[in-house]
Amino acid sequence: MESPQAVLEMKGIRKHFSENLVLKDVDFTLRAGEVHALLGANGAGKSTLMKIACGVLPYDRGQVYVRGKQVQFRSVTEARNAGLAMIHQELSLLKNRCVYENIFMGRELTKPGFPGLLDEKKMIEISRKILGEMGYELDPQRKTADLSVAWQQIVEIAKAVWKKADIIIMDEPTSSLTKQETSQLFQLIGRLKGEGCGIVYISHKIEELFQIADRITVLNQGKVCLEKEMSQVSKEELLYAMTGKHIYETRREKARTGEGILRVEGLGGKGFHNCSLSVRKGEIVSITGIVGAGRSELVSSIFGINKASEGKIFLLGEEVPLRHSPSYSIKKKLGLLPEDRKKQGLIMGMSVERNIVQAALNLLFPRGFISASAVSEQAGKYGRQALYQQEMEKLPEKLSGGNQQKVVLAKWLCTNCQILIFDEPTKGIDAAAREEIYRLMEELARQGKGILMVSSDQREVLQMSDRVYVMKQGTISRELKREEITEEKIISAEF
Amino acid sequence: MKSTRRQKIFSYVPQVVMLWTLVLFLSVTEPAFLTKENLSNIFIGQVPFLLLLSLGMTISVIVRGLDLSIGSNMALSSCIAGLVMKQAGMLPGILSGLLTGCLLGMANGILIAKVRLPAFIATYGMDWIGKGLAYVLMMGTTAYGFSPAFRSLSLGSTAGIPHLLLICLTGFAVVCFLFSRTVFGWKVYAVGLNTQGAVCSGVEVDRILTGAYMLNGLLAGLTGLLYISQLDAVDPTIGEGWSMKLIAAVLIGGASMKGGRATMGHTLFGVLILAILTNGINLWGVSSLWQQVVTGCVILFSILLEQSSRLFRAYMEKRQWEQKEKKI
Repeated sequence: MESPQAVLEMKGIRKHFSENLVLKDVDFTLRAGEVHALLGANGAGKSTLMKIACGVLPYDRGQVYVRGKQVQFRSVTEARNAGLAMIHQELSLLKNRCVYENIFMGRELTKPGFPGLLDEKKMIEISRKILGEMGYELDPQRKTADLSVAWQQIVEIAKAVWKKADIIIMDEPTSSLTKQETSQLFQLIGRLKGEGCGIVYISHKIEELFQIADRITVLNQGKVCLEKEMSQVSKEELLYAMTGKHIYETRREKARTGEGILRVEGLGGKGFHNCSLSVRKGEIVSITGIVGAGRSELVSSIFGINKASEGKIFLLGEEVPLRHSPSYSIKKKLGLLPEDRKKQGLIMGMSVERNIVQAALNLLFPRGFISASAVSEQAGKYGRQALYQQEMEKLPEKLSGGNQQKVVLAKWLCTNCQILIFDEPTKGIDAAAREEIYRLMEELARQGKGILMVSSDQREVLQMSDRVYVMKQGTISRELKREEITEEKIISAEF
Repeated sequence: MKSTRRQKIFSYVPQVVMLWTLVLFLSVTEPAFLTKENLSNIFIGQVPFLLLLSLGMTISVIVRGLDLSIGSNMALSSCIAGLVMKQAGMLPGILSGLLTGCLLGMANGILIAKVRLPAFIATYGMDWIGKGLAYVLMMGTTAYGFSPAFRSLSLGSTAGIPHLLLICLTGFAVVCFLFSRTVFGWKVYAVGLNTQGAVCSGVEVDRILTGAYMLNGLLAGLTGLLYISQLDAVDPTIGEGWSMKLIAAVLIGGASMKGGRATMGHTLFGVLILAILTNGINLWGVSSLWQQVVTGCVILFSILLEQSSRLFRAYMEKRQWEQKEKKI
């Protein structure tokens, strides 16, 4: 409350998801009439912090003040009534409704004297006025589904304006906009700023922040590590704050690599196109890039969860049919540790032991009958190999992220996979377990397995990779050999 | 190890308490309850059919579905079995009945797994089709008076144990074994708990789903055979009203409709509670109309019991976490 024009103030916010502390006593202040950028690597806690601000998520500790008054929102509606609006990355408009219906969603106008009868004429009129004042000419009676993403975003903002929101949070608003649409959005932000709105702007695109933001807060692993006027920081300073104090120069020893075991040629599908890559025995190859560059889509098509539409995949020298299933990949000794461990990697509600043998059931029990002792023997063996030290009978939902990842890894070791794809292997995992996962990956490479790692974590890419592919807008924009891997080169290829 | 076994046993507490209270109450208040005739009426007249069909319903609940076509499936396969039996003898009759059940189940499975219809809709449609076909088939024809060998399936007994009970207990044991000790059963549970996760672990979800519904259909076919063996005639109306009763049994057993969480053991308890409850209501002389009200109350009560125990557990866990947090 030290500065009178602070519209949103968060003090000492702490938040955990199961056993992970994702926000560690974070302070954040938004002043009236400013655009405040929020920057951080994936999983640094930006979205979580903002979801707390507008009542989507509860928090463990700390205080939130809106215009100097302490508040504790229990729902989005309460936050909205206090003037907060969040524009999510995935827009929340009803696609089959008209523009004006979306703008008035939840606060429809009724005819005077007839509660329950909608006053559509008035709503359309006001919608047109609001959009007009914002500087856009858009027919409020158009179907939202027919609009481009940029226009849909404008409708979202109009919704916030109509609700008289003066604290607007935008979560990566430009992630799917063209250059021209982006500059249009920036004009609008400028206008809102002029009217005294405070705007929190979350984005990965650093160049953009220099254009639009007044002040910036950088989060790194749940802590604020930089808060400054935008005019006083350099790009290098931001990157340094984002990636942490240590720039990892120590890298693993040069791997002894063997013949190629995974090759992909010109693969294309939903979200990626014309991707070619290869992995050799004993090699750790990374795919990096910003969120939305198509990395996960690419690897899940290689594994067979999504179907690719063009190109070729070779596993252990043999061509694989494009529309193959994961069970086919597993037979061909390819395994995937997915980014979403809860939904794809593990089966919650099923014991760790059963999770570990799940993918190898056909292999272990070709006659179809299961022997409980064989299951505990195999699960124990591979669990130990993956450094899993908890009880085998536990349910995975009770485990920390690190232990969950070890269970997923044990599952693939149990199938004796020769090629392993790690999608964000250390996302949501604490520092100690992280090092263990790295050690395991190195050990696997030394045993002659091929590893393909998708990662957004610069440090991890620098530390682990023998080669790096950088993806940009759905295709591989650059391949970096071992000697060429530097942070600057990766970043310049990403953006 | 110990903790999960304890949890497994604890999960039966609500059902055991309910069953025990019911039995105790009935044997005190109703002298007719513990008579031999009454008990055989429950355990031979009701439980075998209810149990076999409920096992099928449990399978569909495990894979996050619901099977509304079980009754019709039973009617249709028994009609076909009866007609074939009169023409070609006992063995072809039995085989054709089981096959029909299986095929109908497979049709359900394909509609759900491949065409991706919601189970509710696919089986609801199949319910009409099965029922309709059974009526069409029996138009202007009947089948009755089966061979003594076939009738002994339901009427006979070996070493003092009625065949009907023997068959249903064997069926129960086989299904339990399938779901606890075979690759197929484990995969079915995996699909029910997390379909996406199962796919990513290489489970052929389509095949497993179809297999699960086929097994379900097979059980319906088997029950149909036992039914006509007891009735000594074919009747296309025998399938009416079963689906709701089966869902009731599964729910009273404490199954969650969320998938992957139902077990055969719980269903056994659900079947016993439902059968004894129905019997008790008849003994008390309460009208059959009130019987429905009571059944509904018991279903809701058992679900509330289940949920409150879950809430209690969640509350305890939260407290543990808070205490840990305070120490930090």
